[in-house]
Amino acid sequence: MAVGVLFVLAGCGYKDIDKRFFVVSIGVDKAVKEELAYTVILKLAVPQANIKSGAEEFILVKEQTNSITEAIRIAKAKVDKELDFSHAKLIVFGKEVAKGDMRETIDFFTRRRDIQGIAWVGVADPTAEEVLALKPKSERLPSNSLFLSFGDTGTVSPYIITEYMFSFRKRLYERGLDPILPIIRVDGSNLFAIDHSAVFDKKRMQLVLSPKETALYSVLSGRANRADIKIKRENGGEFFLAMDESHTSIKLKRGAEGWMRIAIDMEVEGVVEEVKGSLPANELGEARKEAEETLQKEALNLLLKLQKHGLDPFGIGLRYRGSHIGRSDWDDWTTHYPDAAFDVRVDVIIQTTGGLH
Amino acid sequence: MTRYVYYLMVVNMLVNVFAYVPSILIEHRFDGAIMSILLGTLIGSVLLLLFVGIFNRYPAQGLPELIGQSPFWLRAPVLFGFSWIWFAAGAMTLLAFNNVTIRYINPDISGIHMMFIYSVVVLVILAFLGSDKLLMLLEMILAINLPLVLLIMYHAYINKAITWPSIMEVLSYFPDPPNWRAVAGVTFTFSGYIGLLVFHRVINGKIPLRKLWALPVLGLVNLATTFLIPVGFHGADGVGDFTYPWVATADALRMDYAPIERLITVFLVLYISIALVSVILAWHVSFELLQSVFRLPGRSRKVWARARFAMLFTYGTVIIWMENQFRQEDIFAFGEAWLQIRFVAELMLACVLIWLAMRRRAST
Repeated sequence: MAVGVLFVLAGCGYKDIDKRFFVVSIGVDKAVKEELAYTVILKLAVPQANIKSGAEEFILVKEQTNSITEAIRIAKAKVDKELDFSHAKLIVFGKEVAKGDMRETIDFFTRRRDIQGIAWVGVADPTAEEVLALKPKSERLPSNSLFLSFGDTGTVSPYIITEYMFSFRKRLYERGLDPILPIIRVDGSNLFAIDHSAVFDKKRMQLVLSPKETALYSVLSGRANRADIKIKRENGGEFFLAMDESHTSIKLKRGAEGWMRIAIDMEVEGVVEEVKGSLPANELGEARKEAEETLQKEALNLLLKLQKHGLDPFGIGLRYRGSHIGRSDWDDWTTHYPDAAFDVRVDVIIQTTGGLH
Repeated sequence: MTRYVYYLMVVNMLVNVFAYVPSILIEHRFDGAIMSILLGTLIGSVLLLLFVGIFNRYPAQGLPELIGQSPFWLRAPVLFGFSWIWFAAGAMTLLAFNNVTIRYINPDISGIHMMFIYSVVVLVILAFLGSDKLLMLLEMILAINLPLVLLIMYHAYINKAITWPSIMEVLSYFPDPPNWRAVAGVTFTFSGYIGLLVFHRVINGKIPLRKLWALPVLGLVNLATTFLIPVGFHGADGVGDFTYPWVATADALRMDYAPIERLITVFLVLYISIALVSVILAWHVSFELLQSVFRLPGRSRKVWARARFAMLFTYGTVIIWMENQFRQEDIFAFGEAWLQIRFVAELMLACVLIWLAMRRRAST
């Protein structure tokens, strides 16, 4: 009897896959109309019989509303199939939205059960619409080229900061660890350029890092261990070092009178990839020194720049909190961080000069 | 057969990774969670040794047999009371998992319908399987699920997105004194020994006390995982906002080359099967205790079968009623209140057991 009851219970709660529209990416822009908050753009994949590069098809549904929920309700009324968010792997915020209150904007995305916590997040420059509308020639499935850029399966580059939704939220709330997101631009008509990054405080975008700074951040924070650095030689030439391996350790030291030193030790192993001018074998020791000096200077500049803006995407403040017992550690940190001194030490090992010597 | 004791303990630990215990610990992460974990582990281990030690003396006997010769005024309230407390254990797990199912797996089904399906499955199994068969079922479920659960945990620990400084920050609050609610929650993860009240009837042979050291260690690792991994994924400050910290944590796991990229689905299905087994075990304990209150010599088999049916029917009705009455907030409030009542009741039961053992020794 009990089993019989189960058959009666079987409902029709499930919609077939051909009755669904898969949202592959979501964009949020500032509304054009003054009185409204957002323009929400949903990119819907249109299934195709044969998949060819550059022939992908998608629909962009655009709504101007005050909240993301309303926008989706209206969008649902416009399309003929059920909207399915389970494949929304990318969420982009327009630059103007990123300058507003992000805690409020992302609330929807963390609260909804069907938005992935592992969706990639980025800032679109200038608008999310422009980024979502682009159809790169090499793309076979809608939004796939951005998925490949952010995931580990496609291109890997220190310029591309990868950030998941859950991690972005964590950084928006965690005192002592500030959010950083990639900035996605449209380069020419057919490619994405993701080489800048945006650093946030606990609410909004504050600072844009250049490609060079972004790569250095990636290496220093351990997100990437491969990057190329240009080293100017004293004799006027220059060479490029491709890092194979790098390791950074951050230590906090505190003296008696309340001053603080942040010691950053960086170990880099690399290969000489390109030389302009000359780099004879007997000058390798000098070259190594020059590389160390260059890296040291660049890292210090980046750290000082972040300190000047009161930002901390490395999570040094969080380390301070973690290594101090008691409730006052965060206040201590905020009073001492602005005038903390940095000790940057870099160790470079040049493994080889490549196929030429 | 003594290996089943470990299974009973482990399944209870595992099921608590998910629902109430992490929420309570995370709520108290800045006021005494660490000390509560340590103290709770200590209390849990002492109780485990005590229960195993006492039951070891009376081979193949459960609580109904042990308490059988004592006067009715003691026997009936203990058996009846514990039967309902342990029914509530199953009920709160089932309510939480039902809530997760309708929230995250099939949002189109109503809570009552889903609960109906779950409770019918559980009650049918209860009606047809005896203690020994249930232990075998438990072994099978663990053998299938445990490797996958361990894989997911391993994946969580080695994940790059985990911020260890956040975990250090939470650990740096260790000097805070323990918190009553958190201790009550922590000791529940060790409550697997309650299964002995009934399952000891089919566990033959003495359980070697010396080999039990592995369980407190496992329990501690389990608690560290359930508490600290969500902190690492969602930050010491941000983790407090989640209804189900572990659903959010599973949603943060990604396997690039796995057949299913998003681990949350795998995780939920695994955990629902573990939770169902744990509910079945809890209700079996409850059911057997309840039967022993009413078991009197001279009743015919037919009457007895009807009585059993009535008991199971009551279980079903109560759980459906609860699902109908309780919303998400109520479920959590109920779970927390229950954890504290259970802690007190368990300590009282331990006293009763000690008293029984001493009396028996005196009389022989």
